[in-house]
Amino acid sequence: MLPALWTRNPIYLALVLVLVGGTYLGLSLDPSSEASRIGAAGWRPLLRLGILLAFLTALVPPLLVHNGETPLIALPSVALPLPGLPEGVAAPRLGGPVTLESIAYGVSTALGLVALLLAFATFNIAAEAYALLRALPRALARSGVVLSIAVTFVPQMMEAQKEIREAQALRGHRFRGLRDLAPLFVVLLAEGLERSITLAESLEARGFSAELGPRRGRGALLFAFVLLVAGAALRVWAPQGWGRLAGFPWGDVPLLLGVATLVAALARLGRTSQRTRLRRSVWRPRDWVVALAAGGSILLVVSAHFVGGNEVDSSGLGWYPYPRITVPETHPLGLAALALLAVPLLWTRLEARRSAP
Amino acid sequence: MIETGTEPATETGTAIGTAIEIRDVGFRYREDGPPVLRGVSLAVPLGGRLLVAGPSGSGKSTFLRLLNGLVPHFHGGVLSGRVRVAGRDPVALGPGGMSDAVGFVFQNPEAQFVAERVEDEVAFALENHGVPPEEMRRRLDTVLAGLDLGPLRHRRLTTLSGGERQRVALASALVLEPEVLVLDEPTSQLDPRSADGLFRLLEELPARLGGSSGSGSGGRPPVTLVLSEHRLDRVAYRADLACLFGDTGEPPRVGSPREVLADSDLAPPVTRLGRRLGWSPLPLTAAEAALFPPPSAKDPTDGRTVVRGRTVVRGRNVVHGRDLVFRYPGTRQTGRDVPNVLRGVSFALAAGERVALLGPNGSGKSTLLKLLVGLLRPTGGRVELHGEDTRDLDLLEITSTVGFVPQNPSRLLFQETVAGEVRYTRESHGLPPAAETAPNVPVPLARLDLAAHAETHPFDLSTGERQRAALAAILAAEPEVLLLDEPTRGLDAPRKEALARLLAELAAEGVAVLLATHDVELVARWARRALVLEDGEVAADGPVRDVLAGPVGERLRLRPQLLRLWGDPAILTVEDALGLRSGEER
Repeated sequence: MLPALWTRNPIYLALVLVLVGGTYLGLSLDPSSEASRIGAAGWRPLLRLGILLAFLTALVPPLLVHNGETPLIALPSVALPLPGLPEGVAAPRLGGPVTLESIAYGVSTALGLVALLLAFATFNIAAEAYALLRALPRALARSGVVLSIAVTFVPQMMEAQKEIREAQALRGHRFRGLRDLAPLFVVLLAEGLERSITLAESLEARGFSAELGPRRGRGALLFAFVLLVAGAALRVWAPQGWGRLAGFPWGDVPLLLGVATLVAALARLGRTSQRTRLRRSVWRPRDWVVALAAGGSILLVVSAHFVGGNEVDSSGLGWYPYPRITVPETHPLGLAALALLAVPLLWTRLEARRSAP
Repeated sequence: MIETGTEPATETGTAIGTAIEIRDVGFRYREDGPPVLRGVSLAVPLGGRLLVAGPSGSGKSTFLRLLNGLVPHFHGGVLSGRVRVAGRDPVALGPGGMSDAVGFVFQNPEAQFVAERVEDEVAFALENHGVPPEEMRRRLDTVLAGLDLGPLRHRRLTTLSGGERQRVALASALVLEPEVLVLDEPTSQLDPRSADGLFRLLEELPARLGGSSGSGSGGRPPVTLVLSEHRLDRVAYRADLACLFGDTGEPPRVGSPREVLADSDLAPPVTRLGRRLGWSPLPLTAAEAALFPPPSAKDPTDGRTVVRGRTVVRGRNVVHGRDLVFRYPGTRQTGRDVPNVLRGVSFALAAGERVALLGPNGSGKSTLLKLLVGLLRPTGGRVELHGEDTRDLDLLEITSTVGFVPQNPSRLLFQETVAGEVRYTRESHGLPPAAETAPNVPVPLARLDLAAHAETHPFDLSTGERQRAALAAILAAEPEVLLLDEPTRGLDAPRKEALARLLAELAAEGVAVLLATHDVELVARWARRALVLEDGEVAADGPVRDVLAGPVGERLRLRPQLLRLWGDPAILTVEDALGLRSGEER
């Protein structure tokens, strides 16, 4: 998901798409798990919509944007009749010269969109919020419960939303514009509040707050947070090249310190929590492979970004087609990151072959 | 066995063998607010069963939440008096500190779930309490097996039926092996068969859970049950102590269920009948009442004018369902073998009919109602309104003839005032403003006893008032057919009675009324015809007396208490038995 968000480089994107698409197809055809097949089927309509949207997205830049130095063909051009444009601003023109750059831009955006959607769908089918919760470090378990509740809340809200619309339609209420949605939200909010009160009572009655023992380490958590914010602020606002000495980005020291403090604080919190787990979420070798591959991949993408630097981009992550298209470059680190993502897929094949008689 | 508030407790703490001890407790939500509880005193022995009853808003829920500290810790408020539960002080410890001593099952099981799967949901409390994994597994096995949830262990909660969900909620509360188990109206969403199953389960709890958790005598004491319920015929006889709340802020009556219910309107039908006929001791169950002679045998000339209601006089048909089939779109594609929700349902509704729509959870009742009002389109067959296929009509045209009050009536309401709701319906159907009984009080409001609330925001109304407001909003369109989906859920006996009277009046004016419900006592009093769905098919359709007394009524436990008592289809209600039938049924 990270590469799909980070880059417009069509080579990277195409690779991501192949990988994620493969995983999704694998899940949707998985003969051993009915749940994942049904889950995958449930996502199909949304994916179809996403692909359609992506297709439209790919069409927009070529038709509307005429920047770029490599015109291919010229379409008849029409000025869009947009009323209310301020004086002196030219109306956008539909048609006109179609440039290679704009096509490339459209295609890469569309690729990114589909890859992102597919990654999200695959994650949802493959992982279950509550199971993930058990895999989290103990200190995060409480936040994890909240997350799990939120995840289960969404389908219920969707269901309620549908029924409220139905009930209101019976009264002759039509949903024509945004204003007609107000009654829906009022009822949805009221019901959500009622539900959350019961839920909170239920959490209390089952000892969710009882596990809250003496909780030291909150100060450290706060300190880590401050360091992280300071580090991020420095990165964003500090002048170019600031803090770089002998090739090492000293300006990022607060950031690194912040991460370290965070990990230490969480570990400490984890030790003081008396919460236990039904299963230790036994990490099978394949789970380790997935986690390591994903973590490694993120690390590589980030370091590729660092290596690329801000001025001259050699990682290829920052590829941008305008003003003149270039062949997207790739960097070994970027490719390695993607290759890592493929490891779990290969591992499962290998496992399957090994377990086959 | 039964101790009441007058029983002295030892000075140091809880009397030995007492699970719950409450002495002169008073509570108000605000310092300057009215009292919600006042002068509550009672004691429940270990393993005892306390029934909490009373009209809506009388303080039942507040009382239950007092037992595990949710009141006053979660909700705030001012408490006086002494509370001891399982030897602890919930006021000092709060819900967290009480959570391993008091299990709590809330009214709506869905709203209390935190996980996606059965096992995770049940284990949640154990994880919170830091129970070691080995012990956790042992307790899970015991409780899941004890509640017959073993096969469902890894299922997603969303795929469970209402009864199964309620069992999961029960398991989640029991898994901490609490001394006290509190259930807040646990059957309000269950069909009669599932409700019976739940009560049987509660009855057998000691045997089901005691076996593997140690030993019979030296093990932990049996669970003490506290249960609130509207439908007392199913539970009154199972309790050994009852606490009956009356008007808000009045001290409740505490005593044996028989004493407490002796002169209450909430009492089961046999108790009310026994009271009228001077039976002693007053029966609580059909079995106890069987000792007394049926009224006809006792006095054959008591003027009973019962003509068995075999013939139903029918007006002209308004709605006709012909061979209705329904399947949720997309259920075929997923490759699962999902049976159709409705499989060929045919029936007609005539003007002025009072029809009860019965059937277990998931039998297709709500789906049928939605098809009739055009919210769903049939997969096969058709719905006709005055002979016209509803597929040719738009929703507004259908709803000017067919009114539908959904399960959750507040979903219908979206105007600023109650009077505004009536105006909105009239306008959207192109009807002139409704006649008014007073300035800005349109007729439907006056009729539903809402005149005083004409200018109130619908969300500021109580549950019962909100439901009447929804009904007013629907009736404003002057429909010829009125469909109601479980309108009595959470209504107490007097409000239920008022609703039944109103629906009878509407029918007398020529409106065809179809009411989906699980409440067989209401059906016995109000309906003239019963339509029973089972697995998406019509299992029975005919005069209510025949259907309830017939094999389907037996199998699905649709028999009201007096029918269980004498097996005489002519006697379904107290009024039947006393020969007080009004002349409207011939």
